[in-house]
Amino acid sequence: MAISDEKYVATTTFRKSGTPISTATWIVALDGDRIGFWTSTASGKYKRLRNNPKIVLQPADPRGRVKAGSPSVEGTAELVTAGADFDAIQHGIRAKYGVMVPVTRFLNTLGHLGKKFPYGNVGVAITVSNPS
Amino acid sequence: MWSASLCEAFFEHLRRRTFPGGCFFAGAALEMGTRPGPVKDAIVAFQAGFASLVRGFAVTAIEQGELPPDEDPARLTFELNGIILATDANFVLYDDPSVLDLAHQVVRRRLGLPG
Repeated sequence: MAISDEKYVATTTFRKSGTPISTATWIVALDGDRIGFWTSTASGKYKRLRNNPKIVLQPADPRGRVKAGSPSVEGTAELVTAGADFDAIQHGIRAKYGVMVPVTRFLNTLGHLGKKFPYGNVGVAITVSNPS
Repeated sequence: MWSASLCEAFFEHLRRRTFPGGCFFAGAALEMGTRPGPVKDAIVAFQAGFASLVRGFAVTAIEQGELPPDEDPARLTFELNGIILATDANFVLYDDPSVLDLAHQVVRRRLGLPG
């Protein structure tokens, strides 16, 4: 099973200091061996990926706890706010996650009350460096 | 239909035991409902936002012919919210996953969906 068939993955990105930070994200397949998800330009992930495109993903539960013994994939992330990859991620996420998109958008607004925190406005397109 | 998917997602949220007390906001609503202040205001905002999400799904389902044209979105929202709250209370009190299967059947029947 490809990692893009997972419902949730633990996505690890790296601070300037090299410290790994892991968060739970959705995941969809792109063309070739590439995979992607969306995030917010206000998120920590976005800031870390802008500084360092290295990314590691591993199958996880909705809280981001990795599935024991599952294989991880490593790759290089490209941040896209328009174009074919952006559209493919938007379409892929909506098709795969359905009702959870508006639900999560609603919960996201609530989690950042009073702050400007756009939802899913940047795509992360990942070229996997160790395809299975 | 998203009205059904939303309820199913809520039941799975309970089944995974994300929080030991079931739905955080259902518990918080009862605990904080009589205590005016910013916490209560945030919970009220959540409940109102959730209701408008559910109502929006009902409106879309009616527009797309998935629900009968004479369905009342406000009433359906109240009913689905009631099912969700009853499921939460029963699941937490009896610690019994069969409550979630019952809730699944009740939702499907209410929305006119097969089993």
